[in-house]
Amino acid sequence: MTRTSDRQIHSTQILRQKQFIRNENRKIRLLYLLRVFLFLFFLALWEFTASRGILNPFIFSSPSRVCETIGQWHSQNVLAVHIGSTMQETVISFLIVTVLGIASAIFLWRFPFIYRVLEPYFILFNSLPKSALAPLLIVWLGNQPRTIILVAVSLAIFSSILTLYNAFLQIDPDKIKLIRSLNGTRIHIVQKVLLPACIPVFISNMKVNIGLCLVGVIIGEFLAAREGLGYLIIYGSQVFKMDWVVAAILILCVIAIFLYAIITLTEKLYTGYYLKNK
Amino acid sequence: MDTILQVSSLGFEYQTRQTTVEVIRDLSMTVCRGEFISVVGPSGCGKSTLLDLICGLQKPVSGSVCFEGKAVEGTSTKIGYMLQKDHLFEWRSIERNVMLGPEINRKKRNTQKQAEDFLNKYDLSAFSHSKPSQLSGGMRQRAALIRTMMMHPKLLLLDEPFSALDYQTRLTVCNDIWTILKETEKTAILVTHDLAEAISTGDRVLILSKRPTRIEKEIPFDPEFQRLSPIERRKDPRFNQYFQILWEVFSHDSYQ
Repeated sequence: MTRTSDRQIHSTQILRQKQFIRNENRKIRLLYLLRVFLFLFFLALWEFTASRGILNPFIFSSPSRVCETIGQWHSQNVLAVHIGSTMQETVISFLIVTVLGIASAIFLWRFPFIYRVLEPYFILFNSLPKSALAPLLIVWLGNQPRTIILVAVSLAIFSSILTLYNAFLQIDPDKIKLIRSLNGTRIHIVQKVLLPACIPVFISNMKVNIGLCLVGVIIGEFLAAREGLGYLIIYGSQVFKMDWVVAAILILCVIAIFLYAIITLTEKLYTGYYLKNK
Repeated sequence: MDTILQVSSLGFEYQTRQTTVEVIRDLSMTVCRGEFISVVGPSGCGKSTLLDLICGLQKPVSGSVCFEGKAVEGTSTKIGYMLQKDHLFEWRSIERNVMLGPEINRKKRNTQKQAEDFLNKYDLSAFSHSKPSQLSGGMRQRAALIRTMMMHPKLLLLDEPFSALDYQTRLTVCNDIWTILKETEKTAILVTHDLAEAISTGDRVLILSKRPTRIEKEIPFDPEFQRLSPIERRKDPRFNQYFQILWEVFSHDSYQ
């Protein structure tokens, strides 16, 4: 008797479960729909107000004028050049920040006394608005890509080192004791505990850094470039071609999302590897 | 029976700006091969420090530790250490956690098979590719034991290895690990603040004083009692007698 009733309960449970999944899926579809709708609504409103003269298209531009501008750049073969140079500088500075950040944090973890010596300087440079340094760097290093890269690196590196160093300090000292009791050296501690334990921190730090590097590159290009999206923005505003400025900003939005997505993808690949493998 | 470990008038202290903290003063003890010693002491009395000194993680300020006739200088794979928590690495499978010791000491080649044997023997083979978080507390502690055993230590130091487990699991895991250590004829020193655990595992019990720590009293157990497993001991009438004796010592003024 209990058997049948159990089975009945079970089958109604399955129904409720299916209903729940259906509701959840509907919610997710609505979510995406609203996101896309919001974007299209904004574009339409913008285009409409600009074409009716409610907004002055000369100052506020409009979606059609932006498309036109991008089309022009493309036909003049300069679109790829500008995007390419901004991307290249961003990726290079990001790689430098990532590698230098991890290496310095390990070094400081190994020599905590040096960290104590440098601590006030780290705090100073971390809280200093780095854009203030940019003009100085241009005078010192000249009007060239490596100056821009340096501006971007200086923007992200100090907070990166501080974050990673503190993450290393959070590791349970008993985990280190375990490695030592197994006859391990400092290299083993770094290799078997420090680095693998901090991979989630590395990834979240990378997400912050890619954004900061893009900011740094744009600041650098404002001051010291003949190409790149930052150059387009500053040049456009100087000659009052607001279509240029808005088009460059929109391209920047796409680049920012794209770069962030790459890191998220790396994270997913890693987590997938981690869940599946060993 | 031959002596495996000789601790002679050991002393340890550390300095702060305010004061010098004397942790251990003039502590001597001898451990014979194959013995299971339990060490009890009030919390904060320097039990873990004692184990750190024995395995060479810290250097004594005075006195000496001799293991197999040689002074201990730095860590060695001959002395295994089990910490309070299992510290299995979440980013490694159980199998790779167990292989940590051989990996560090570059003996990976022949030990893979050994790891499998150990995991089989201690009922963990089904979990060798699982993450530590997928295991129960008891299984995790067994995995941690295998990780230590992989280095074939002659002496095992156990620093409250069951304290992170809930009461039921603690009894069974304690029994399991005790049985494994006895079967493999390991010498072991178990440090705990739990009197019942000390009585149920040791061949004899050393009672430590408050800081600065020395050995307050030694209570040897009846040889027949020694042969009983931890769970059997808890049912034995002598268990309560020994508990009374230990309780007397701990009720003394010097512990208040």
